[in-house]
Amino acid sequence: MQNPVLPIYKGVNAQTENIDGYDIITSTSGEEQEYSAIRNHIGITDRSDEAKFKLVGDGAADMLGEVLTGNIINLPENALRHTLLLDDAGAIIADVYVYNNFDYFLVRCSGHCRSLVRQQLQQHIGSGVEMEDITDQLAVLCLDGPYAWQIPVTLTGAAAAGLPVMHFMEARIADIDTTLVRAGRAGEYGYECVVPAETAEDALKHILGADPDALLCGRSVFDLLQRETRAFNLQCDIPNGESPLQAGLHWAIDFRKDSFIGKNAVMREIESGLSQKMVGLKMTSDGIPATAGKVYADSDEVGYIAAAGYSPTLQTGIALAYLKKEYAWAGIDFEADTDRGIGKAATVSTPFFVMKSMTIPIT
Amino acid sequence: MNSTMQETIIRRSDVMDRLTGLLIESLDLDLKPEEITEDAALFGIGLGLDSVDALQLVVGVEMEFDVSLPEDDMSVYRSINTLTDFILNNTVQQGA
Repeated sequence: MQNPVLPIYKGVNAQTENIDGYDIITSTSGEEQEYSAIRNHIGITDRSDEAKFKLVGDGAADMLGEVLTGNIINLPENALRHTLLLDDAGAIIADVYVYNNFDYFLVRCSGHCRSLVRQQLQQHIGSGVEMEDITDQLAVLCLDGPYAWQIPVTLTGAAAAGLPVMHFMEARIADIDTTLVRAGRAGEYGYECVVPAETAEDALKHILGADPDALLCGRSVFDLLQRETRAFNLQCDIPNGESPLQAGLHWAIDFRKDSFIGKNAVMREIESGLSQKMVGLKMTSDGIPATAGKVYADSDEVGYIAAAGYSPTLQTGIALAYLKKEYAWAGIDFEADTDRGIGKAATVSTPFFVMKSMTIPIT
Repeated sequence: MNSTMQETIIRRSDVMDRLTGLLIESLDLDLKPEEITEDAALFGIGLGLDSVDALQLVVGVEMEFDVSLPEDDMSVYRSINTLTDFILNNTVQQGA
């Protein structure tokens, strides 16, 4: 798939990385400016490469329910659910979003999981269900930030202001048919404009015209934004194939369902108890936690750092770390490997801070 | 594990167990304590509680822990962990 909005991003000297033939926008103005835009105003990000599978037929909900960890049967129309696809051993293959679009279900996941997810879905398709890979047909333009709601309201009308979280509605951006989705990854207000790929460039021009201060952003900054929010990041958060329960993804699993792929492994881990759990770690001394570094209690190694970086909002280093279960509590002082040697850190509740969007009402 | 760390964990674990139990019982959630993670959002994605649940939860927490929860500080209501932080910071430790 060609990146349909690449010409516009190239106009702001965007950096790209070609993955499986798609030019992913990695950054535009640099992490500092892109972070500031999304935490304080609006950032616009292209996610058109995300895989999209359309499932049609009376048995689609049952089939997805058998495959995915979440409850799809009770997913209301015009709503979406963030859930997981596991393998038989209970390891995470992908986190997916399932949309109930009345006539069909749409399954979306990261572009790099496309073939694995397609393979798993195809293996479980029964009679009466048809699946089509429509990845290349649709573009996804994401708006994130405490004022992100202003753009859909300006372009599509006041109804957008009432769109609940994890729901979607049909709308029009100028004359472009758009599915407006209320979902984000940065912990701020988040909207996605899903449009036919051939109209994406025009749609993006309208979006930029609605708020000239909104900043075109790349994807790299989301590693930091998602870490601060503790929004699951498949590529960073489970470096050693940690289980969904160890990663704290209980909310994505319906434990009452009769079956889903990997359920036996999940229930075995529930019964036996977790050996380690992910916690938020905040530095209380100088230094940025070292990814893959160790965490210590009284010089004893008690865990390791999965993902780390500097939080501009907190102005200190933060990390998501896996600690032995008996140590995995918020409010405890530890030591951790940093870029400056061993430093002092404390476990904290996550998200690491209250996002600005929580203080700004949609009007 | 040193004794200070052990005491901190015991105190936190006690509050969290009571809070999780209260959440399940008072809101009639079809979940077991081990199926809830401490940092999961109470509202929206996560446990999916609504405003009616919030009122019940506030009344239950105030009675169980003899604390007065703030009306205007949403940071307290993000997760079981943040509620636990508030309770631990606003109750007198027994025996202290």
